[in-house]
Amino acid sequence: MDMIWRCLLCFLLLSGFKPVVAETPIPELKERITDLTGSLTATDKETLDQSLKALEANKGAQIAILILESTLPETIEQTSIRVADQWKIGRKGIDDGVIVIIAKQDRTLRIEVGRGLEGVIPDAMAKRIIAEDMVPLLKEGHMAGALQKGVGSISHLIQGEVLPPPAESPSNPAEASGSVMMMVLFIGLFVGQFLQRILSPMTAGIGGSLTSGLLAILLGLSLWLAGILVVFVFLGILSNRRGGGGRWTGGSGGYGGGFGGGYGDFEGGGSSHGDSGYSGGGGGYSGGGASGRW
Amino acid sequence: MRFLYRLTLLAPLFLSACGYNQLQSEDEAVKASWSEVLNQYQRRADLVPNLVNTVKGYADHEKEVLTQVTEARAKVGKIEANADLLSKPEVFKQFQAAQGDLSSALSKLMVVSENYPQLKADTLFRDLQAQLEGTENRITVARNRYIETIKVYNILVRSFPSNLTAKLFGLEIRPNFAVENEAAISTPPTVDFGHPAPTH
Repeated sequence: MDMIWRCLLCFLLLSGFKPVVAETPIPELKERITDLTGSLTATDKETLDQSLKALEANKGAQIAILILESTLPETIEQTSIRVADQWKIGRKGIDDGVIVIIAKQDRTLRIEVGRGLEGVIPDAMAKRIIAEDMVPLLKEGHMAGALQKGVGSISHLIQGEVLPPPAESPSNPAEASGSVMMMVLFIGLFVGQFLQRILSPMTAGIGGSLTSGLLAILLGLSLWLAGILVVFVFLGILSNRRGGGGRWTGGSGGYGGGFGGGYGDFEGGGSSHGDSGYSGGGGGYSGGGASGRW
Repeated sequence: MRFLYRLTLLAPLFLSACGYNQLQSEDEAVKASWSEVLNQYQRRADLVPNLVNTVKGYADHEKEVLTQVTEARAKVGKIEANADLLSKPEVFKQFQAAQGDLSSALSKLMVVSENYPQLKADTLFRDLQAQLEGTENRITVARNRYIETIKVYNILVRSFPSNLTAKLFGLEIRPNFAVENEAAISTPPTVDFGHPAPTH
């Protein structure tokens, strides 16, 4: 009894004190350049967007830019890795994404480099791009210029790397359903066995035990085959759905086609921001890159 | 015999119901994220000799800090770092303490180096510094990811009915980073935002 009261008390206490995590909210990814501060003019944005788009069409690597007021109380590194984990810029498995993040009020910036690009943009290079290309311009207040120069240097480095070409169409849909297929097969086998068991006394009444056995086996076999058929039909439906998937991501030109197809698991989220035309490809980050301040 | 046959047929269903598959995949996830932590610690340890040599060239009389770093680096190297560490909480603690010592020794070295303008202007030093910063950040990220995966794994090992499966297959609760340790290492650097760097 005492235990129960304690548990209850614990529960009440715990539910009362939800830990308050002070984190900078991360904006949803809608386009390559997310400017929350309004520091870039429409033309600046357009020019930058063009060069990012060109890189993506050419090499498949993605670069995204985020400008926000402040990352406080977090450091820019903490915010940056959360942005990277949420946006997943870069292709899945290739991890060729870069995020340039600027906190205007804090006067800090960071280049977050995807795992696959850490070789071509090592931390020291990222630091140099920040210190030599971007900080001097930022000090003069030319945010657009700093970004253009920084993105230019990053693109230049990426151009020198051999990366898989940008994908044109979504690929194999079958891998996720392996376990489902197994399951259906087993169930098919089972139902067959079960029916065999039930049917054998019935058929025994009609004919000899030989025919009954044969019949039961045939029935079982057909059910088993039906199970396989179900699997294939299921797969067919799936691949149709996947095929249609090209539509949501591919609507925005050559670069988008590959994204979304790479997911091995079903992520409903992929379809929901389809109309925006831009999404990360599932790139992974492990905290590489460099930060700086001006 | 027939019963056994059926049992083997049903095995996949049973095993997934009692969390066997999930336990296996979480176990693997823990190992992978731990390897990443070790990997990044190793990366830092590899940077130390170069860094110490470069600093020595400009600030030879900072003997105390330099030996501190070298000693901490040696201590880290002595503990054999592999996945077995996870099943030995004592060694895990020692490993964490040694890495913590190296962290603080290195940050002291970086503070000291601020006093040597020539050192700060050295290209090699600047590159090494950027690498060290990057690696420290990677360590933080890897540790955070380890904490996330270990949480899922430990909950799975503890909760019913997967705890029975875990016991059956000898999967035990794995150590997480100790709290006091965590606070010492992963505290974000305090930066005074009150006085922005002078523009010139």
